[in-house]
Amino acid sequence: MTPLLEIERLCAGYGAITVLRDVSLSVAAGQVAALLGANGAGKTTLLRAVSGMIPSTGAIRMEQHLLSGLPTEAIAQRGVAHVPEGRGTFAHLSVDENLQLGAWLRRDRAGIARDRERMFQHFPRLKERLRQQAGTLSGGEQQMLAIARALMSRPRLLLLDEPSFGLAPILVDELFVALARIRSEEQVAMLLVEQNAHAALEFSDHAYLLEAGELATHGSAQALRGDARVQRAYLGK
Amino acid sequence: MSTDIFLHQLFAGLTAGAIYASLAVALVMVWRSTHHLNFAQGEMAMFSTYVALALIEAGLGYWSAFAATLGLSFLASVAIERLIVAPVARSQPLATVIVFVALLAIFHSLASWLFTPVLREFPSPFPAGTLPGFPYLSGHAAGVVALTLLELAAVWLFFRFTRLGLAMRAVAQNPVSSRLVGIPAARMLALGWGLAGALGACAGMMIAPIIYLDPNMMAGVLLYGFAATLLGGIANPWGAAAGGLIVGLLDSLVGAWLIGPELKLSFALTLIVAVLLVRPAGLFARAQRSRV
Amino acid sequence: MTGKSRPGTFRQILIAGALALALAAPWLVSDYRLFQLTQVCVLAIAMLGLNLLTGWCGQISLGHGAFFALGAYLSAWFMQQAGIPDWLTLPGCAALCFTAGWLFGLPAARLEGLYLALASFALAVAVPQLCKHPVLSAWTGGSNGLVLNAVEAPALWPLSAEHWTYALALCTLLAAMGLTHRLVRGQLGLAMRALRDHPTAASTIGINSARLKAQIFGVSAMFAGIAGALSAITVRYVGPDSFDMFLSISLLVGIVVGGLASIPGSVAGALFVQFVPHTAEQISREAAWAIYGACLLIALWVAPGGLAGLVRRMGDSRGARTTG
Repeated sequence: MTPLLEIERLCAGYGAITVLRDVSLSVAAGQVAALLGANGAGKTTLLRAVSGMIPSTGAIRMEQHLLSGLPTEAIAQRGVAHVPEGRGTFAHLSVDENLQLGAWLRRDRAGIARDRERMFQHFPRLKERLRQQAGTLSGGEQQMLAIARALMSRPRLLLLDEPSFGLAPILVDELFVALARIRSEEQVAMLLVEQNAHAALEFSDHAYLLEAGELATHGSAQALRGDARVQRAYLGK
Repeated sequence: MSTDIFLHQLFAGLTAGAIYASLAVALVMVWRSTHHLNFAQGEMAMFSTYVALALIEAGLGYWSAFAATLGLSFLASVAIERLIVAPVARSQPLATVIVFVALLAIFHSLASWLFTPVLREFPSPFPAGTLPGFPYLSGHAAGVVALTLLELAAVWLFFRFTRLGLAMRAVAQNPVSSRLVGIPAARMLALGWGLAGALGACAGMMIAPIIYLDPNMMAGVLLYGFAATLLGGIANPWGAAAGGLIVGLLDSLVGAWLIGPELKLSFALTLIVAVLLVRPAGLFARAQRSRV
Repeated sequence: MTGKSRPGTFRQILIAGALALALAAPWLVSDYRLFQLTQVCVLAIAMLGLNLLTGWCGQISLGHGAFFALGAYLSAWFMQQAGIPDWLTLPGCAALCFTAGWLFGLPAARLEGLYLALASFALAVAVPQLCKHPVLSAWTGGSNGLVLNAVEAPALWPLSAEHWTYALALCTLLAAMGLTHRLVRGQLGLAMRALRDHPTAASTIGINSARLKAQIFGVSAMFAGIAGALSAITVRYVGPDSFDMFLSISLLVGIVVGGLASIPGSVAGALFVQFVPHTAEQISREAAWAIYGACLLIALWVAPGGLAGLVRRMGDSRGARTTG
């Protein structure tokens, strides 16, 4: 399978501080890749580098097109949708306006309307709260809104930064059920950063483990479930 | 206090209100698109008006000069945003306030230096004299009121119903997320400034026939315009209009009978501040709730 | 650690050098320059006050000229009507201005950002107008203001007028810097920064923001009032036109250009605000403010974190880099 997203020897950081060193990974079309690692390992930094939010060296390619060096909005145009850390909802705008913004790059009215309906099927609670200010939604609802917004652009690649963060376990289950449904219906590839290694490995096809900014290991999700290093990263064994 | 005099003062206040509202529209435009309040807007508007006068004196017809001035103001404002404001805005919010102070100083001083600081007459496109059968409002004042209402409606519709307006609001609130959905944030900021500059130029050209053109023309107007904007709730053009009207009427009626010209400004501002204490986000603002 | 000591040493040398120059100034420069330096001290004190409120606490004020004026008029009145020696007026002015600031800060605490800016600006606009008003002119001297007798140094120290006022201003500045340093390093400083950076969260950990804001307003106004009093003492004239809105704006300009939340920044800002407009006027009288505006833009472009930050970065770059 030719990879949809290919990252080669990525180095990125903040100012004088280098966080990622020579990280390489790839995500195939329609596949889910999980990015695991302890706090501070560089997972969020990697997603930010892919989105062009921070400068980086090394190559980031989406189906042979070079993403590195492009501004964030151009990368979004190429079909990358990023649900950032903290959700990034437009807090003072309504749920409806948030969804409209998700589809900002698209001009096909009918298609957008159809996709909105599909979002409501994935996340019925959003339909109830359509006119409500996004900032007043609960954490779980904001997460759903953030994902729905990202999907409204019909992306080919979805970057998810810790979607389960701050959610109660029952909501986390709900979330991953929704993600599974999205995965089968939307045919979108995902790069999933998760603290909740268990849920992430259940859900993904392939997984990468970051340790202190470097790639420690990778393999199929099944293989990594038993990997001692993964267990150490999350359980301190 | 005869009814006649009262009505004169009332409509003078209405006219003044329209003046403040027209500048307030430009302020609302800048605010909604950038979340900064450009208080150099008044001086830029004054400068634009001088440019318009120069074009008219060079032989251009009124409406040609009007259109050309709007265009030039748009372009100049875009350039200022890209070259001067944006590089500084990245560092910290208060620095942009100082940028506005600098712009205010530069435009005011340049106007005094390039165009002699003598009161100049500025032509009005509306019929001279008072309206037939209605001696309290001049043709020009009625024109200003009508035009201001038109601008307000346009700005409101723009932000509420257009794709571009939504994008600009998004950029002002959350530039990072805006870029993630594909909006070219930098261009939106520049566009917001450009539109505000054009709106300001329009305000200047409407105001000049009434209070005569000189480099200090906008100083008082800006303060009241600023106050009007905040009074009405800064995000809402209609609120700004209402604010402008209230301020105009306050200025006219209170100034004439209660306080006298020396304390007029202080009184008006104090009253506005008192209102803000009761309604901290302005009279017509929607409450914005925030979570930690 | 060698890495850390080099930037620190650079800064210590710089501070020692500045202090030495400041102390030696009366013998190094002309009387007029010394007068200007005295005004720099005065402005720096006011800017320290504003910096406490705006830089460390995040509350923008466009009205500190009003407290400055209050301090000036109070001091002038004390000196003229009550015959109190100049330096003795300072404590009284400090206490009264603290109270005024606190009283303003209590209701003003309800306002945020722009709205607070407008409210404080209203104050700045109102004060000169009130000073001119017939009702108060018996106290303020109306439009003409109050003219004071010439400076007299206390009998104990045979100093010239300029030396005495400079010494007074410099000592007060050093005291103000010390006080600021203590305030921001302590509990109050933590609370202020919490209020500035995370206002919603701050309330959840028990910080009574309204009371804190009122307190900081009080302290900030006190500094501005002391500065105003010193201004009256050194200039020997107070009039409404000396305290117009440009003063308030200049104070804000000074702290941003000099460096927010920075003690040396306040001094840098005072130097900028005192000397740059003057120099601009000498370059071109008609376009003076345009040049001033251009200088502001250049300063912001070159030193976005303030002039003090620029100097600090120059010092840091000489020392070893610390990596994260």
